[in-house]
Amino acid sequence: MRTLPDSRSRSRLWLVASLVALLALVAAACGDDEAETSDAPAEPAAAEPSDSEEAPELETTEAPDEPEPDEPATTEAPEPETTEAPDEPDPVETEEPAAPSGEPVRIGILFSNSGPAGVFGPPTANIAEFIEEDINAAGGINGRPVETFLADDATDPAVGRQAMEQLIDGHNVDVVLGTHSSATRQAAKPLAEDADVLYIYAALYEGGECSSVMFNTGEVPSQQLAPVIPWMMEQTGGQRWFLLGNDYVWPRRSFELARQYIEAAGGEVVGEEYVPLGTQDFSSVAQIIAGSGADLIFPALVGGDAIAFETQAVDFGIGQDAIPRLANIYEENVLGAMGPAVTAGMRVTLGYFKEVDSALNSEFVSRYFEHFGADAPPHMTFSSHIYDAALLYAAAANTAGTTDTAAVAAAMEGLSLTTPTGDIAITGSRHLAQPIYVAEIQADGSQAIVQSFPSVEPDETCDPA
Amino acid sequence: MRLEAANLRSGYGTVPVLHAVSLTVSSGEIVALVGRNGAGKTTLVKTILGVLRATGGALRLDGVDITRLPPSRRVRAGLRATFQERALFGALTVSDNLRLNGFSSESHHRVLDVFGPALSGRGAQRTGTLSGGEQKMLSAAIALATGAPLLVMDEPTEGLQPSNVALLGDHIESARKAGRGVLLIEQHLELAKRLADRFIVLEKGEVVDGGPASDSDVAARVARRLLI
Amino acid sequence: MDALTLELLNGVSLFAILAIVALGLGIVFGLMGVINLAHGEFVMLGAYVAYVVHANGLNHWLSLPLAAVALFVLGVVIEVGLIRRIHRQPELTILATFGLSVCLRQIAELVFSKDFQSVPNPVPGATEAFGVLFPTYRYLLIAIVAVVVAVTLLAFTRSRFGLVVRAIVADRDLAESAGIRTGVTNLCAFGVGAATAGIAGALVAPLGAVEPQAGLAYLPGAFLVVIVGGYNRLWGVAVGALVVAAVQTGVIHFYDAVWAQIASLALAVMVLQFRRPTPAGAIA
Repeated sequence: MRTLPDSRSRSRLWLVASLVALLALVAAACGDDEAETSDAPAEPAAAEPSDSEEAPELETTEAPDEPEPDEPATTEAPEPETTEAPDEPDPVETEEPAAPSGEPVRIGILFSNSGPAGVFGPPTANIAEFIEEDINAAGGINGRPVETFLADDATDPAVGRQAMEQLIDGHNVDVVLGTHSSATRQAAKPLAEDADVLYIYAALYEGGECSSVMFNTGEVPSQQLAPVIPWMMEQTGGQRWFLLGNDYVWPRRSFELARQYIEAAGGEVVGEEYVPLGTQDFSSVAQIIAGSGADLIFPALVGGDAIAFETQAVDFGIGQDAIPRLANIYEENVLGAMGPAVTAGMRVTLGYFKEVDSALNSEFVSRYFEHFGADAPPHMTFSSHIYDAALLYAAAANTAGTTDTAAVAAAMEGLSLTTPTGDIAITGSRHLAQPIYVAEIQADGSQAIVQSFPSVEPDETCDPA
Repeated sequence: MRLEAANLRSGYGTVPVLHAVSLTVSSGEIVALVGRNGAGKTTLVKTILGVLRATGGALRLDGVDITRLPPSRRVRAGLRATFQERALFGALTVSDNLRLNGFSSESHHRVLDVFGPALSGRGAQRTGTLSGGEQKMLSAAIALATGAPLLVMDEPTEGLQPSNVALLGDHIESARKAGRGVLLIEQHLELAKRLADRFIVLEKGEVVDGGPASDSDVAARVARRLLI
Repeated sequence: MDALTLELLNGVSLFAILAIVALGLGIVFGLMGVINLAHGEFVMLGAYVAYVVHANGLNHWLSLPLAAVALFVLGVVIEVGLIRRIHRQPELTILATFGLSVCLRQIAELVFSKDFQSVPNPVPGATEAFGVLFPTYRYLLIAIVAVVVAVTLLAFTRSRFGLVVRAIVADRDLAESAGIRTGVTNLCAFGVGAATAGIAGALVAPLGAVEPQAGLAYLPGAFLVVIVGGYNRLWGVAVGALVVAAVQTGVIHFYDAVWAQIASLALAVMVLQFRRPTPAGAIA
């Protein structure tokens, strides 16, 4: 794996800017020397030469198989109690594939490694290493090895566009895998379209994307919500929902759909509020919620806003123990900062948790922590979806026998795989039918999967022709 | 104490005003700096005090280079100036102005009494409400009362009644007697002639003439330069 | 009635948060004319002081004096190393403090990682007063901010130091000519400004996330307060915080939080239209 050339140069750019400001303008004694050493912002991904021993496990993600015609039937089924996650049959030993050789297939990864969403970056950077290792161990793509190139959008669409440009023009990549904001996707997409480079957007998002070069494999609100909302009402007996989100397209789209599912399940929405990103004080909002008579809260808040809301809510008497939460983005980092006293009992609906109960996933996760250390930033839904996107691409390119964009895109349609996430399949709408898991936060702060819905279809349509 | 300017240059932005001005002022002497409007007198005062950065040359106080020091350090080294305009904090009271200049409350009356009854007992008044002449007197009184060994006074008599001009002249003379050096910028030629030990004539940012006041030729030349 | 009381208390607690966060920005801007874009990072670092205090098992309230001292020292170092040389050139201070803010975020990331951290509420729960339940911590926060703001403002207005400050704000060169070492006053002002930001950070830490990016969220609110309240008098910070808090709380109550933000921005734009800004400490 290339050692984060782009993310480094990106953060270097910022540091150079700050150094110019500090040094050239002032010849200051202040932050110079510290800045000097800070030039690689704590990247855990510092490209150790990969130990080949842990590779073989993943061979079983039988990449180059023909698309299976029969898809596992969708919709919920499992008994409420059994918390069945799709179990994977034991790895079937296949013959050692020939070691890949020749000119590498170049995989670009566009992700947020700095700025407000930068906290999600490190696990993705780690997983890039596994992508190279695992695909190469399985014989590469059409006999060629793969090489990954990371580019940081700094959680800024303008920077994201430049990063995309660098991946396409600078690194000449064959495919871009993205996990970043929708704003960055909108800014970067035209470049992929102009260059005819396949672009697999793997972050959970509001849905509705449709382009001839794009596939969207992240969770969309219809998947996270359609099966889970009725389940939540059944579990808690709650009927009256309060929807609280940050003010941008993803929470708004999520709430639009949530309202339909709530009403279909016989519940009602007693309040819907949006707060600007970066909101620090939730006292007035807490009062509105307390006065609404809600018995369920669906918070679509991100990062620091989520932490501020939940920690303040407790003191206003509307914590989880008073009004249960169903969250669709609260992930380990955010939950950890809130602390178990605040989070115990919260339910979170996502397409992946590292606790997913399958042999494949357990092995993958233990290998992850072995390789990157027990205190590595945990593997989570964003990094998991990037990993899956890479495997999907490899499988499609192997089927197509080429890396030509149109040919690979054609091979993508209908493709299905079993990965640590579970059974996944590309749909006709260029999205991903995937399992949806509900985790409940335990008293010690850990996540336990209490319900899973295999192969949930996204409610999306797309005809890029 | 001896103030020395050597080839001092200064100006506003990129516009040079002073071109290599050299002069000295020593303890126990009064040097009258004269020149027409626009000659650069006020610029020189500001540069000597450090409110304006010198763009070239050097300023020395007893041989110590003070060219790069901020005004407060020069003040602490023994230099004091009165400015022609905006010499006091108009929004603050007279007492506050005195406090800022380092006078303890007990010594305020001593400063205010320098010009007799004109300012006595007006410590609580807002400085901006004093008349122009009163403000001139106050700022001169402050400079004189500090006891600073070197004074630079920019047009201190402007707007003063004749009786107060005479009084100010007496105070400056006794400052000299006390061994202090004074650089006096003065349009009022009569007063300058009465007080000065030496003349310096500034024209277009350069020293063009000067000499001992006792030399009648010098006095005549100075008068001519100012009249023409 | 109860709802109104609660809304009033919400408004007061928001006022307190805004005032303490903006105080240092107002001091530094009003006195030195320095637009400190790194102010939010000072708040962020204050919050990290609270986090370190918590991580070492110490009492949360200890973090207030510690954050004040730590940030005062940092402020002094930054003033001497950076601000001092350029504070008369507003464009340069904007660039330099922007660079500084990036620098401080990176340093925080290196030291503490990008992860969200939190500081537990030292006094969880609510207190009943005025017939309503209101979070205990917010009552304490309001009281502490009232003391810190009052002491700071008194120090800047009623003392000898305050007189010097007013003189410098009125005319820096004249103050220098009176023998006042404005450099020392600047140093104190920047240090005190940073120290109040540190206290602000330690105070808000139990209310939200502690993370390297946290400062970015505080800076706009602080600027709003300083713009609305005016920057040539220090009481402006209190006035600005009061007005912004009233507008925010009122609009959230009657409309929503998004409109509240728009309303405060509109307020700032209006205030700027009607005020002719004068660069502080400049001499013609």
